[in-house]
Amino acid sequence: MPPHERHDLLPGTLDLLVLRTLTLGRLHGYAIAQHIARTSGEVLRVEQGSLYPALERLQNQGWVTSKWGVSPTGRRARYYTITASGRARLGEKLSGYQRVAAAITRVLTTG
Amino acid sequence: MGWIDGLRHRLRPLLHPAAWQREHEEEVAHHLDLEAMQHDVRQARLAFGPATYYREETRRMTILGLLDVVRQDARYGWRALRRSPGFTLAVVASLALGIGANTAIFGLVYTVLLEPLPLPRPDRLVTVQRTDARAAARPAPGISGFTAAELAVLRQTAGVRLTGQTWVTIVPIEVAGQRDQSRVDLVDGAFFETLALRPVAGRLLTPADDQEGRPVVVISDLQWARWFNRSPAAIGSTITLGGASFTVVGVTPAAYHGLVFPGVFSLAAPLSVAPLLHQPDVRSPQGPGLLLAGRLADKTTLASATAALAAAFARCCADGQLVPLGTGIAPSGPARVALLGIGRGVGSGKMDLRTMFGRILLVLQAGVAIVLLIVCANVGNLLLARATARRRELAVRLSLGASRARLVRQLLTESAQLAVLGGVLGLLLAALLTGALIRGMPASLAIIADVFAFRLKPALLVFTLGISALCVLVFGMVPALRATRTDLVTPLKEGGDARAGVRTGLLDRSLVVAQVALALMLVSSAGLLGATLRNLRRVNGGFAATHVLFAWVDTRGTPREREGAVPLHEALLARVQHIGGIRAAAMSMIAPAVGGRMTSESFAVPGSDIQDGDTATITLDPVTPRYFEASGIGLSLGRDFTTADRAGAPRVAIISANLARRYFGDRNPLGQPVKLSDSVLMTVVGIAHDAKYLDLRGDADRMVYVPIAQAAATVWPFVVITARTTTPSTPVAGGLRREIQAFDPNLRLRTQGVEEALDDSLARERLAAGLAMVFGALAMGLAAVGLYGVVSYAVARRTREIGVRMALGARSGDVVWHVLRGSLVLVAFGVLLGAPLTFLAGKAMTAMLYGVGAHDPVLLIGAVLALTTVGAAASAIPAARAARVDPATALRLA
Repeated sequence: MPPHERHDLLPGTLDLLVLRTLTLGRLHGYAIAQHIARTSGEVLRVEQGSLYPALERLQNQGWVTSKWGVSPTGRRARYYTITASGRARLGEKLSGYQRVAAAITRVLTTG
Repeated sequence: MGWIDGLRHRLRPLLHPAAWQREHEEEVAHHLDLEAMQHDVRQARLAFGPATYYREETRRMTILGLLDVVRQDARYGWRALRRSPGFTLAVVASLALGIGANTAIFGLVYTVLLEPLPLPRPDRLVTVQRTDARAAARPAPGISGFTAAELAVLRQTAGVRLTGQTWVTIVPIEVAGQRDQSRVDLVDGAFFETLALRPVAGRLLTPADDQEGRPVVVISDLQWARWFNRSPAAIGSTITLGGASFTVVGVTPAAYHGLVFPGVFSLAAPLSVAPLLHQPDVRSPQGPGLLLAGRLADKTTLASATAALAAAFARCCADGQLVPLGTGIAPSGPARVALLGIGRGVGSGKMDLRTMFGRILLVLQAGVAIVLLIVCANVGNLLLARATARRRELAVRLSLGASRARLVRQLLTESAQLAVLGGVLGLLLAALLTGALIRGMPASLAIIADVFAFRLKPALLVFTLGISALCVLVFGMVPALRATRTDLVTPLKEGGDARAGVRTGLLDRSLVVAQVALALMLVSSAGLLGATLRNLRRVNGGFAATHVLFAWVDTRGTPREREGAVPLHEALLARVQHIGGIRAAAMSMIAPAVGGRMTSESFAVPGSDIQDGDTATITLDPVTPRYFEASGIGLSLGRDFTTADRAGAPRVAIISANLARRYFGDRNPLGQPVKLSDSVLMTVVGIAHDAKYLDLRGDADRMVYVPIAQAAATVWPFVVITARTTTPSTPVAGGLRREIQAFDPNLRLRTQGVEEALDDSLARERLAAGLAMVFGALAMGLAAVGLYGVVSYAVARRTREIGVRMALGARSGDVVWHVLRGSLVLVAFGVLLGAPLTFLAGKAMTAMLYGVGAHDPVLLIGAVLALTTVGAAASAIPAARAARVDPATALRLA
């Protein structure tokens, strides 16, 4: 069992998180996972077993591309970049997500 | 472009599997290391999760994952097929039969009708066709000769690049002490450049070879293999042609068979070396006619090039009487020329293979397509039955969470495996069938047999693959969808539901009805073609159909070629007349049933008011005395030719009775003058009975016979000896051959009895009738199998019902009749559906039939009876099984 308590992501939100993270710039896989964990206050821990298949899927769609580069520590690493169609997709997904989230909140908070 | 990136990404694991694997491992390692810097290694690994799971998940996202699934399906499917060998065998065997027959026939259709010349841009290749005013509108593919002088003028035309070659020339060849005879094409220097043919070794002929008259020769791949064992040393070596030394400079590809279809290519030498080969100089006015070939310039249309060429021809050559004898074209009005596309080769004249076999091949293709439909119906039925039997298995998999799409894909994979097995076996079968068809070809076509040999051409593979895939999709999809639509509860209950197959019953019965209908169509078509063959065999052609022996004697390439036919016939016939068993022997240019060199001429009777104009063409046959006795044609009036009718003596002719009736009516033609296109008057000395020379279906040919001795200029260096024998002709053939070979071993010789010759002349009809009968029998057999399957299934399903009936007092006879009646109803529906189809098929074949109507009622009734009998026989086995049902056991089965 992983040491931290795990919070399951809503289906489809991992793509959203990854795409959003990549709008910050070129990142390798570990950095993506780190960023998501840090900014969520360690609540959302992306399992690597989900992260890389997700990256594979996003590349299949042409929303993300990757290139091998050298990391600050001098190691070879695969860096992921969001594409223009990926940004467009992120926009769509984001507004969709916000609608759903607002709706859920309304349901949960309405007496 | 997002999707292009995506596609490239998807294909990467397939294109660079090792790199893909390495990169992923490196990425994982990188991740783990970074993780380990924050936590300890153990924790890092734990955080990462199971590495193999991660790898599998990533792989599943890629194309490799899809391939894994296909591979899994294939393995599973293969196991499933091996578990039921009977089913697999039945499906694969029927597919192999259907696909094999279709591939074999398509191979012939492709070779004869569709295949382009193996040259670049064959659609731009043209020949120049000599036409007259009448034929100008629609030039027929055929032979037209042009002189070298005409070529020199015509090739100035813009928009088309012209070149030329001689028709067949045969010369003795000697390579390293071995002797034989070989065909040589004498070609214009620009010939190979214009065709854009590429050599497989050495170089091809160039304009310089032709201009300087170099004794060089290009050989075919076949000759290269035969004489030189495909050694590179062949290039530069010397061979002897017609006594002169020639240097081999190159080899043409195996696919090149010359411009004529169907053709044979052996050797090519420059036109200018003709005298070395004892041929007349092509540049002299007496030179042989050239076959012109050309290539249209890129932006030129056939019509504009034709217009330019016709104008050039009208300026230079149109007024000359340049149509060589024997071209089959009677000049009428000013000569004209037209260009004709030869992307699929130049047709070979009157006996053109495409004209002869085109229609029959298409009919046969339609026939085998129907066989394939029946096969597919059978396979569909088998798959349906199997799917029903597997409902429980599929229900279990569905309830365990397999998606329907996955199961459909699984079932389709199985069908695809069956189709691949059937397709591969079908290809083998097609090769065997093609071999058998080639062996059945008439001897006269033996020389071009190589053209038809079974080869795995891309077009053929695509065809086979296509029909196999079609079988899978059409007949695998329905059972697959149906089997997976099942609700989960019913099949899982032990015993299932006896009524579960009611809906399937309708579909498989419909398939059987369709099979019976299609089989009826094929069987009755086979009957029509069989009757046609029988009727043609009974036709009286006006000549002796037994006790006649033919021998073709060919002097080409020997010293006798120049002496002509006259000294040959006198010397040879004197010997042949005395062979035991020969009653009368004669020579002619053509003979009934076997044909020969056809020569058409225009015909006129001076002073006659009958003006047939262009249609007054007759067939000219130079013959020796006693020809009418030897051939059995006989004279109805007047006298035979005698040895007194020699060159220099008054010109005489014998005309056929139909010609006499047409031009002389009731008057006595004997002693009257007639005239051929060479405008020499001849006196009619006899009237011959009518005879059908080329076509047993048509009217008797209009013939003019002249003494060979007076027609030396027209006589070609090959003639037919017709010998009337007193005994059956086969034993006499040996004596005849020995006598002719003793006379001159260099003569080329072929003998054939008239029965065999008639058989050959009916090759097309035999092919049609034979194959149609095979296909009909196949269709009937397959329909019987289909019927058997459906009836057996019904009996098995209704065991309980039958048990109840028997318990209630039905006798076994009643049960048998009950089952038989069910299957006869199916047959009856099939016949009702098939009868209109049969009429349609008969109508489509009308042009091929002889002496039998397209809607022959007797044949139709026969076909119906045959199908009913076969259907009853096929259902007799399950019916008998039903009659043996033991009521007690059947009722306890519940």
